[in-house]
Amino acid sequence: LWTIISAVPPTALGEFEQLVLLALVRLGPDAYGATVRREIETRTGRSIAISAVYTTLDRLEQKGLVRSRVGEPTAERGGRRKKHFEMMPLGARALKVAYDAFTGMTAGVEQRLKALR
Amino acid sequence: MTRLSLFVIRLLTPAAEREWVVGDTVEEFRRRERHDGARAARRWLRREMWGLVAGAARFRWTIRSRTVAQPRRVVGRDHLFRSIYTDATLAVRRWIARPALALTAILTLGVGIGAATAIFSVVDGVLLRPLPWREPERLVFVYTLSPALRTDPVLRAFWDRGPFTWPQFTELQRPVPAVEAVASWMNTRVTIGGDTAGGESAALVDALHVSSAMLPMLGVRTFAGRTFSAAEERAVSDSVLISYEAWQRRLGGDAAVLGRRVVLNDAGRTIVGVLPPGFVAQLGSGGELPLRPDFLLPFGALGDNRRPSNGAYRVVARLAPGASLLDAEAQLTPLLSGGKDTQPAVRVVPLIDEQFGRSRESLYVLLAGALLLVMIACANVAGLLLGDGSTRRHEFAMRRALGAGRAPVLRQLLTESSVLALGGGAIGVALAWWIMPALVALAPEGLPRIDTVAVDLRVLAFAVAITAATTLVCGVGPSLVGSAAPAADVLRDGQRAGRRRRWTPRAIVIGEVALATVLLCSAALLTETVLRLRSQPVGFNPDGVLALGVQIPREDAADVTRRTRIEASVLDRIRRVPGVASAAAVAAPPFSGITGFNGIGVEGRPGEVLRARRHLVTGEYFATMGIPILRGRGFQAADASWQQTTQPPPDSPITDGAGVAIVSEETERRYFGGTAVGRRMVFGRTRLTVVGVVGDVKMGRYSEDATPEFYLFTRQFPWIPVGHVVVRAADDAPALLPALRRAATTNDSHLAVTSIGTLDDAMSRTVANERYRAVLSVAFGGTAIFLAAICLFGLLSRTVNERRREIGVRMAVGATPADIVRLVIGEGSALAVAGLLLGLPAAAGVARIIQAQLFGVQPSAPHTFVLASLVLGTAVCVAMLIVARHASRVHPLAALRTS
Repeated sequence: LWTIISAVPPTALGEFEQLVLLALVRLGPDAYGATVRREIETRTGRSIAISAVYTTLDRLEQKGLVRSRVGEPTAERGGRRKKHFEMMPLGARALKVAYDAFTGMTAGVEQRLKALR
Repeated sequence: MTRLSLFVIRLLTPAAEREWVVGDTVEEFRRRERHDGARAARRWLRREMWGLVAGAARFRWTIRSRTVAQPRRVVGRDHLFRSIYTDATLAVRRWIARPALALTAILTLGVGIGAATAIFSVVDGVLLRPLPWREPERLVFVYTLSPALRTDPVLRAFWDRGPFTWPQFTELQRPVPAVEAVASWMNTRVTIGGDTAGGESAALVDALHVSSAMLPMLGVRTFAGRTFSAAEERAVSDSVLISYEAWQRRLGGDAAVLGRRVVLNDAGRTIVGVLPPGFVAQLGSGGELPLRPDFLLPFGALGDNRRPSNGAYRVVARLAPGASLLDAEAQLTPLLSGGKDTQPAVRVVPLIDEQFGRSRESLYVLLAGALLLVMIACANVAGLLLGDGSTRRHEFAMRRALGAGRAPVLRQLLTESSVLALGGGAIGVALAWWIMPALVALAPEGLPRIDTVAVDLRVLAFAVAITAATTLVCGVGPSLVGSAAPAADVLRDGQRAGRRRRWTPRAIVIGEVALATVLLCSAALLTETVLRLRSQPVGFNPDGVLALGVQIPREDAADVTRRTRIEASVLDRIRRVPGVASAAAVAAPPFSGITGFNGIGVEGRPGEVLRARRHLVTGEYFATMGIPILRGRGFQAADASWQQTTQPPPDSPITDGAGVAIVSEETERRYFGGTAVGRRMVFGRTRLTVVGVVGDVKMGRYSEDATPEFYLFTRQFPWIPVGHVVVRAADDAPALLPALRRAATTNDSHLAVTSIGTLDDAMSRTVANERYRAVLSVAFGGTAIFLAAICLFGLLSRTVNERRREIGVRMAVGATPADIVRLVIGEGSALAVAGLLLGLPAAAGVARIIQAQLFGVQPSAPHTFVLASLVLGTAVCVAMLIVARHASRVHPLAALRTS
């Protein structure tokens, strides 16, 4: 299976897509709309719309990078269900490619990058 | 708020994602509630909602720019904005494909909405907006009652609205529980001199004497400086308040205005305060003009004018909270009578009623007329859409057969009609903007606050409301009809299924004709009122007569010899102006708004004081005005041999002299019992001989009844000032105006011309109210009939189109074009007659409602209805004939071939 997957050229990820996928990595099994959003908002300090999170996750799901499952209703959400997301191998690969590209480019210049304003 | 925000978020989220998104939002909201507190959480939720709304708006924008490339991408997703947007674009495209229909509908609605909006802006500005005073609903006018005047031929109208004397006003100021404050005012005009006159040597400006309680009571705060103190009411005072506008205009907004001196009525006064901008003394009662005084003077400035006999103090009061008018009347009465009298001696009238009482009714009638017009416009557009809808029945039936619910079809039709209504609303507002200045310019001068009228947010809100109502009326009716028929029937044969429904457009035509009849009849009645009023005999011949008023400075006016010399020289100069046929001096020309009256005594009726209007004229007055001398003679130069140079004191014995008087026919009939010439009458303390009888004249209004009058010869009574000159022009009266103005002030540059104009203009102003109503109702009626004719035209031409084949067959078997014309006209006139039959009784009902605004015409006058029917008939005939001509030209072969 891995050979098949690795044969498929990885999808180029947009910046926001990268953030969402990174949030999935950080959150693990607790990843759903609200937590993903909170994670990105607290870590990047930017304010994002919940609909943007879902639009991106839907798109990633269509591309086969993530998959979703509908959870049980909880009282805290007024009896509404959660939609959980989890990373798929394709997504992991795409994120790895993006991460490698980023680290490759930043290697050796971390100090100078940090000094940037 | 929380629920609403959540609801909006729900609404704007696509159904597929709604559950998680809303769930997430709720979860985040609760978390924030715990961490940051309820307020912060609510604020967050609101921001969340607005973000979504903005996002949806952006989305709409992006799909628009994307529609060309990927048109269907968005359809089918359950997103409210998206579906509205789709419907709207569809509707716009549909209307662009039918430009004639769409334009007719939009213009029709535009006219209706425009008329209603313009009228509403006037009604709103004049009636609905609160007065600028503090709690105006507690402000009242206080009048004195004089039951004795009730039957007085001259002062009848004033018996229950009298002003007070100074002692009476002082009494009224004593505290009573029902009244919080009492104030008084007096209109006046002052000459302004010195460097503040604005270039003129002497200018006459409006001013107002007010008691010190007045401005605080109204809640008016000065822009700068102070108001008057109570001390300035009792002692002689030289303080003056200047209006903001006069401060800007006359003093150039001088920053050091407080303490500056101005010369008013030839006396120096100190400015102690500036009134707020836009201060208008909206205190005039009934038809009185609202005053824009340049100056406010304290009562202390009146000096000796405060003597007890001068009953000119108008009183306004503020009721205590919760006090009724009756309480106030009951408590104020004993103050005047010293507690003896129990009969009410004062009348208390709410300020709002008094100011708007007269205009309120007629403005509401106009608004009703405008709304009627909107209804007609709606009916018209509904008719148009209905016609359009019947051709689209097939489309809707097909859609429903394919599984579309009734709701989407209805929504689409509603969207289509709201696109039209929006267009109509936009045109309507533009139209209102455009005609409103005309409405304001046309408005009678007495209409209070007319100058504050403007198209603003309130008016726009009204236009939006009307537009929304229009959408519903125009859209829902036809859609219900359009989607009602069973789909299968329509698909089988659209024509047959439509038979039954043709009654709806016919009912619309009938209704429109009926409404147009109502408007036309009212227009006819109101127009006839103006014509009747204007053709009322006034007792003189106003054609080519001009009047001008001249103000003589105080120090000259105080000296009888000097004043009479100036009066004589002004008259002399005016006589010599080329083009002046004759001229005469008079104290108060007719329709000038000025009248003087006196109690007179008549020989043979001892002890009786009979009231009559007093005229002071020179000998040429009757000839100049065209007032007929019925019996006896006019004033002659020889009469001037006897003169009274000073006013005899009121308690002096009655003296005889060679004084003469001329009385009017009404005076002769009412007071002299038939023959007056040669008999004696008493004016003041002087016995005069009646030497002539002249015809009755009207002085203030066309509708006034004959009033007793007497004329004195100004050369016999030089102590009474005459401030006006009437001039009969040889030919072109208005062309004489500049020359007259020049002639009046040449050599006497300190004279001020207070008024100048043709008598006809002055007379025409008195029917301004009636004319306003008439012009507007004619405009409404005309528009209504135009719309009705268009609607009938539309219906008939549609029918002819549908019956093309039938007409072709008829012509093929030998029907002549005349038969076809008869066919069309038969149908059209049946509808018109039905509309008339429905409209005429309604018009009679409306006529009774507006009866109070009519003069000289009975509300049930048959000729009005005949006239309205004729006008309507003509319009209908024109519409029918155009269609009929078209129908009769149908070539039988062509008609048969195409079907």
